[in-house]
Amino acid sequence: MKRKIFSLTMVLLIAAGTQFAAGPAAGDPWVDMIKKTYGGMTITIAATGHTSTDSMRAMVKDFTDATGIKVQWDIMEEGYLRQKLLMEHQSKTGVYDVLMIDAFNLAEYSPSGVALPLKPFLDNKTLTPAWFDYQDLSAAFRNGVGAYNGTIYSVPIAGETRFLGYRKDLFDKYGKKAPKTLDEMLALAKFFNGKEPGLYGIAMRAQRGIQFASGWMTLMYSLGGEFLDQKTWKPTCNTPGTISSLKYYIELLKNAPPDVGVYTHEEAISAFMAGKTAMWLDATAIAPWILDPKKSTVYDKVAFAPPPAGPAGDFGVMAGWGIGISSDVDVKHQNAAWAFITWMTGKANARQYVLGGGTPMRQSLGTDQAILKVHPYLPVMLESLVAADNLVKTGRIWIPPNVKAIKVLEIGGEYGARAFAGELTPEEAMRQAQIECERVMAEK
Amino acid sequence: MGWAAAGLRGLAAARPHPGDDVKRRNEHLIFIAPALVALALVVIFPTIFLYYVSLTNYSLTSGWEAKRFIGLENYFFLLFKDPLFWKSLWLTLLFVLTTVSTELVLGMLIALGLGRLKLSRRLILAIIIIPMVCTPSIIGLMWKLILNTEYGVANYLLGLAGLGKVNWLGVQSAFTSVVLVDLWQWTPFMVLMLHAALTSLPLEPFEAARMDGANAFQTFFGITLPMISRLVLIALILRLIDSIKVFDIIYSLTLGGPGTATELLSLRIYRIGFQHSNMVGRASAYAVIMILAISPFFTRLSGLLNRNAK
Amino acid sequence: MTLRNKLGKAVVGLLMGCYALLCFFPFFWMILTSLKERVDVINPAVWTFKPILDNYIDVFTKRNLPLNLLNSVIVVSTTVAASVLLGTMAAYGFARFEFKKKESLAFWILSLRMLPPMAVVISFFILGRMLRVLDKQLYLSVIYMSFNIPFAIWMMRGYIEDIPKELEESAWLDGCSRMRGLFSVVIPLVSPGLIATAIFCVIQSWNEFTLAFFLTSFRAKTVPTIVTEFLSVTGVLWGEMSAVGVVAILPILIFAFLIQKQLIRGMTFGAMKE
Repeated sequence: MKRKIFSLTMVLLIAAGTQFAAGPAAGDPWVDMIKKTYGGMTITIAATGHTSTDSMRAMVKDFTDATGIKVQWDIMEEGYLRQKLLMEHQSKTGVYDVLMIDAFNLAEYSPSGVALPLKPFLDNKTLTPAWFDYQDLSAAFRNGVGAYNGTIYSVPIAGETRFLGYRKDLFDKYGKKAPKTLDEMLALAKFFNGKEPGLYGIAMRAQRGIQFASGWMTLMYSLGGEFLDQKTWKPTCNTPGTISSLKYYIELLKNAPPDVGVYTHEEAISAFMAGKTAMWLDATAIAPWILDPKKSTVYDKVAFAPPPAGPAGDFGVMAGWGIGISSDVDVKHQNAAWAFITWMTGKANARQYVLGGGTPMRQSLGTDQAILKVHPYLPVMLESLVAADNLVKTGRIWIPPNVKAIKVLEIGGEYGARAFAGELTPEEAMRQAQIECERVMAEK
Repeated sequence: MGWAAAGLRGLAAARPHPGDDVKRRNEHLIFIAPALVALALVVIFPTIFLYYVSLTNYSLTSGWEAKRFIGLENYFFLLFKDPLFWKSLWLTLLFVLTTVSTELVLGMLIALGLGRLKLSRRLILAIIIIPMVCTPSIIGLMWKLILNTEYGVANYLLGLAGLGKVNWLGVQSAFTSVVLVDLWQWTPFMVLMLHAALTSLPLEPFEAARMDGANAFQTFFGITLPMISRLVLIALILRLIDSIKVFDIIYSLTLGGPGTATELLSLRIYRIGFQHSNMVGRASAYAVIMILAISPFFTRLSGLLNRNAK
Repeated sequence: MTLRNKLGKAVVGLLMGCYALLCFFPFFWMILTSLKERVDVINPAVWTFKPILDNYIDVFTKRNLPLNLLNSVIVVSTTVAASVLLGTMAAYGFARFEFKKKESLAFWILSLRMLPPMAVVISFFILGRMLRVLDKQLYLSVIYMSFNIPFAIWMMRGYIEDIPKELEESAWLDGCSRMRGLFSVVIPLVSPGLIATAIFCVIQSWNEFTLAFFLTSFRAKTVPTIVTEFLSVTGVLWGEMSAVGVVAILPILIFAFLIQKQLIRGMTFGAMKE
């Protein structure tokens, strides 16, 4: 019965939403201008599999009909996407016009010039349609996901933060409340671990390398740790704060399924959706899956809460994806690419974008009832963004804005995972990580 | 580059000498040259590139122009300063020796077993091709799904049978699991090769042995094995070479983890050259060392093969 | 047939059946996964479910699977045809002639298979860029020869060595040149071996991932490369990925099944007709 109501609601919502589906139509001066100048072109986009990508693909027909610009997609896994973009840029092949850029990699791309700074486009009143409204996009995402060192390189299409998903049914059964601090969360993880047959405390990412680092960093700042001092750019792997945060994470992971050592975000979400864990602390972008009865066995048993605070503060995650323009293509392709970007991220199409699976990015949608029905966790997500903002207020960005940051994270994640696997003590692991990070930061 | 020099010298030696039957001496060239030229053209650039880059600090993020020639620094680092290099090497050797020898023995047993069957033989042969034919990256992910301790079907079936859950991809068992998946994928190769050899053997020696009263063991080790030994060696060599390059399956299952439990050489190369390090120079040095390290095995094996062939 | 023999045969049959089941199971599981909703994928206890064809439909309409299949077929057929032809000719050269450093050359050829794809892909990328052949099937086809030709040479050499020289010599007496002798006498006799070599080359080329992934972007993408489309940032799209997995295997399985008789007969090295 619940399923029926849900699908009926979805149908009504989509029907209601479709009155906005067509987007700006012919007659809109910008559309006409684009069609005249760039109609008939084909642009290419390199992207990764994501619900936002799916949403864009669903919208592309309207785009092509209106502007006459055809779009070719090359979709690949995020690790490979990064490789491909770097290699293509090295040889200046210009194969891709629009690039889907992970906030994680922005620091890497900008010095090597993979993507173009977008300010000239934003300021260009002819190329940018009136209904675009850049400022309406959440500031946290605009600056945290799309900009590096003050330069804007991409327009965010999937900003995300991390929050806690937990089994309301289990919590109610045992009289537990959502944790407000990390200590409470650890205690809850221990409590639920094994409480019922086949139940574990929590599911998180712990596969060696960047996955481990990503999971660890969800709580690292709140526990007083960090990989890099963002003022001096000295690695801080073996400070007491970082080491104790590693110890916390290892302790937490002991209350996860036994093969968590190979868990990526995929296994973490699948374990939670299969009902194997009481809690899950990961990206807001994945939350819609948890509520989907076609994907999740616990879709009606889950509630969300902002990430718990730690002794060092209440700091949240800021990550996500944006779309930008390749620096290896000619001006005509750049402008056509910009037309694509504004269409997909503009205010006029925002509703259609979100209802199609895109991540809600705009303040104006925050109180939109239709959106809330589809993304009921949105208020919690906005609350979590406050924590993300706290970090920014201390002068730090969740992913350190340095071209070598990603290497440091990879090293930290590798050694952290080895500590979790019991190969090294946390202290020893971080000592070695520190040495390697220092070497990486010192290289020219 | 000894082998390249050896190859070229071989070709040079075949050039006509005055007074010889020139056409005769060179005839083999007509047959070999097309393949050789094709190969040389394709691999000459990458091989030179590989060796050259291994002597630089080329990094994909810094770019081609930013690279510097650093001589043997990469090699020194790998051999003396990278504690994981030796572990990688050890894991790779352990993996290769375990899988290939087990595949050989299992393959032999199964091939012998197949020989006993009549009706179902063709059906079974058709089925056992499947593991080799599956796209490695996809089937690797399927295996990860199957071996998941919580929602994977392997543990589910074990549970039905009354046995406990196995932590397939945990620290202790990850290496074994990876070996098992490789066995699953490549034992059929051995089975097919050996089965074909066994079925081509003439019957007379076996009948004679039976009349002499030899038992199964004696027949096998005294007659069967020697007769197919050349084939066994070729299969071994081909399988060894491919086994060392194993990558797709491990990448899908564990990415070299947990910790460094399954960090074989090819994964180390990937991690250094592609994953967030992008130190292509150092990764190339790794690859070179890998090739040099395994060459002795092959020289030995092909030596055996040549002696055997005469 | 004694009871002991009968029992022995039954046991062997049972063991073989178990082994075949083991080989088949993951493939079977992949088929099931391609027909399931995602919620059933993470629940192994579910054996009865309503199968959905959405995954297959999506994979053919929303992705470029038909194009990828075509590319795979083009790349594989051209590279295998060329490799087997050149490889067999070279194998003949190795089998029938003696020359200095023959074994060193053979060893060098085999050593080409030792190059890990990860280590050489960047150089192929740079080369491809210089020659403007990136994202073309032909480029992949040519590069694949680097591991197919050595394989073909090593396999075919053994087969050819097993054919008695006398058969060729009688053809020469009839006025046949050596080359014609190869094609009219030797090759028909080793055709089962030829087919076996071809099958293995087809399998290796069809499944190759690393080189194909980095050296293509739109037009020449082969089937293995699209796997990464399903490794999304949210999670693995099991349904579609398994559907692709199933579709990717079918052509090869059918091909192998049709010629399996030749395959078995063909892998004959052994100490033959004494």
